[in-house]
Amino acid sequence: MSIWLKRFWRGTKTGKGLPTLALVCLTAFSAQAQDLNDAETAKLKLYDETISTANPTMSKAFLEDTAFADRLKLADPEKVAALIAKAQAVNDLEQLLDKPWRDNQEIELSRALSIRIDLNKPLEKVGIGPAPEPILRWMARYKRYSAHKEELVKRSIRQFEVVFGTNSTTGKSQWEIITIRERNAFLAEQAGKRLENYLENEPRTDATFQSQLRNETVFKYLDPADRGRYERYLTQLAAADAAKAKLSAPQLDKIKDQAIEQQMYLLGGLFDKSKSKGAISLERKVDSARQSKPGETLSFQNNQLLAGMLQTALVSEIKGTVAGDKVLKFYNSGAKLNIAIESCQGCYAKYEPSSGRIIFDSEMIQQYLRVNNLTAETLLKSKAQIAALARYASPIFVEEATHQMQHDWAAKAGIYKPYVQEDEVEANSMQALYTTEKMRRDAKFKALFLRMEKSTVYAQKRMETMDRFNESPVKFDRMIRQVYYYGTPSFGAASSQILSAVSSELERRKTLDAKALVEIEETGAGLEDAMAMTTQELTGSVAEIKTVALKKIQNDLLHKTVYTDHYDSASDWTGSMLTTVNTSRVPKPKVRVP
Amino acid sequence: MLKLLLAFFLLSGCSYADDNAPGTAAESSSGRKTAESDPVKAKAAGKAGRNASAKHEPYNMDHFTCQVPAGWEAGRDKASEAKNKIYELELLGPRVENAPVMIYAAYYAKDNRDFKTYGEFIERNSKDAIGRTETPTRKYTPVKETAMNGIKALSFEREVKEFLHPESTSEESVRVREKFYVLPAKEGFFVLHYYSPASVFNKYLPVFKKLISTFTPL
Repeated sequence: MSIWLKRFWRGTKTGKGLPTLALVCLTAFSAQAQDLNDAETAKLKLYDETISTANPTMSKAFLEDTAFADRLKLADPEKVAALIAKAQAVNDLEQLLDKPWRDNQEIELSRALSIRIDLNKPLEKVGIGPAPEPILRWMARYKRYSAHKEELVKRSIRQFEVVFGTNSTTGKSQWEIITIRERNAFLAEQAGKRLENYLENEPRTDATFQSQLRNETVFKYLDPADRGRYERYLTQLAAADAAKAKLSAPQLDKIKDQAIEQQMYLLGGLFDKSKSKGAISLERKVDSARQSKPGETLSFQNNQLLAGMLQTALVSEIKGTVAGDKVLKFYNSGAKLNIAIESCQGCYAKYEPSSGRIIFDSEMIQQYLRVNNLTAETLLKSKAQIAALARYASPIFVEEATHQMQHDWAAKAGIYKPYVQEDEVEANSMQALYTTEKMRRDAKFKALFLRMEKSTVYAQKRMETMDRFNESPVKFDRMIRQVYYYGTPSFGAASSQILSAVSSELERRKTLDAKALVEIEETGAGLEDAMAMTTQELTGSVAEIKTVALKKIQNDLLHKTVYTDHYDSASDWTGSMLTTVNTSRVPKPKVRVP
Repeated sequence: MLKLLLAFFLLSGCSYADDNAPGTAAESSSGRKTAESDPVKAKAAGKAGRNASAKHEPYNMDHFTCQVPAGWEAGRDKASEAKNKIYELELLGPRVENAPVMIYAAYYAKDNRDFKTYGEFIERNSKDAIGRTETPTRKYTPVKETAMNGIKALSFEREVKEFLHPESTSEESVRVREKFYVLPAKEGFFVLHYYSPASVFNKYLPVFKKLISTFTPL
């Protein structure tokens, strides 16, 4: 049965009819349930006891003992799912901490630990959580990490002494019952208030003040949105300070005592229509960092109009590239392309599964207008300018379209798919592959990015992603996981969390009376709703989901090769396509490259 | 309770017990070996890791041997090695200015996933993706022929503006300097790679040089 099921899942690429067959399988499981013999019972007891103490060696041994796990699946699928979830969680924690963490990744490690150590997480069932201090005892018992790493973990879990110093213990007991997530939220709020105070009231922009601001440790606690504001503030200070050096005393007098946004606005006006090379460079830096003037912002109507025009232009732009054609094949097969322009809250673009839209950051577009001396009106009147904007946005369009394809794949296969690091490895590889091919074959694209990388970080980051991918796709995979998306769980971690929550709930239901069970089945969320839930939503609401939906999701995630085969295939494809792109002939550029 | 915590926060100034990264000590775990098996020695070696004269000790892999700095964290991903045929030892040293000092020693098998020849490795790593040797975020030195322990080798360097939060609109970055030695082999090739914040590149270069001077392909 087990072998048949594995073959069935591996051989099923289209996934048609999977929901029905999954139910058949579940029925078969129950029908063939068998008791364990004495040796197997003792082995299970040993695994259960050691894994319940978060023993990493035994957790790994159990996960590798697939023959025994297959045997257990026949005897007691719920119990084995719960044990797998715990073992995966411990194994995932060990792998996470074994990685070489850098000092500058404290935020990422804190985020990575906070999604693993919290209320209702599998690690809680092995004694680690919801408050994070037990991880220190676990490290002392099972691991021998360097003193530096131990210190980094203490900082990442926001240990009381590390955050507040060792002079006071008042409030320590309260602090030590809240989760990393709650600690981070509190610290981020305090840091955000301090930043807001500077933004609204502080007129200084000099190098000493910039240095003071960089050294304020409180800002390490900023949440992603405020971190973006903080980094932008630093850029503004540097641009303003450089620009002020070129101003006369009366001009300086006009902007003194102003907060930074007002200073940038006034500086933008002072440098307009400059002709000298140095002044143009300064103007671009100021334009890139300042807020938009009225003509450079997008009204609601212009926004709607631009989104439609951009959608058409993006399709033309990506056509003819290997990554772009893969995306277009997806849209030509019936998938809907829906572009929107909104504030992305600290990102350049995102795919929004709930609405099916790809959202571009309005600030990124407005920055493009400022740097290119365009207004919303001049942009909308020119097809050439719309095409150029589409060219500029196309690398992240390919990345976000890949995310849409991932959601579509899971929907067509009829399986539940959590959002995981592997999704980002594929999406970023697609972006880098696309940018590589365009830079090699499209002279207009190349000219635009060579110009824009001098004044926007967005363009510099697209070039850096391309370069890192070209250096080695194998190392690129590692970099994506370690540098960009530490805070996102791997597939192993996400499936572990979900399996744990689902298995516990199914066990709990065995103890409920008939009335309570009927109520869940009558009022609980159905399969369709459950399949659309995020990992957090799912693990947080298992008690309100119908049994058939929980069993379906459990069954999906127990067959991990369906997912890992998909991720491996995507990784192999982008790697091999890079070879194709790099070895094919490159046409001579038709546009002069500055 | 939040008010109480806020009071502590403001009074303490959010201080850190130790913001400066100490040297690293050894660890022993399933995926990561240590350059030092004795934890007491490892701690001492960790302190040594703060300066460039760290002690070295032997490290053996199927494809090469070398002396690695004691106390630096040594890691391998064997699952990736089996799949991609790139057998790589990663050594993580002290952290300076929010970035690590790292050394990689790797054997790229003839049928590795990423490169057909050592020449292709050099071509793709000694220039940016479109063949430039200087960009707003990168600068490369020319590739030089050299000898490493009597073996023909090629070397080059690059300096990179590494964005610390590339997934967001944040602009924070650190300048990193990297040095490569590429050694052609009968089948496949070897790569020795030194990665360091530019400000301490010269300080820890002797550690890399010590590894190079003891590197022996098998």
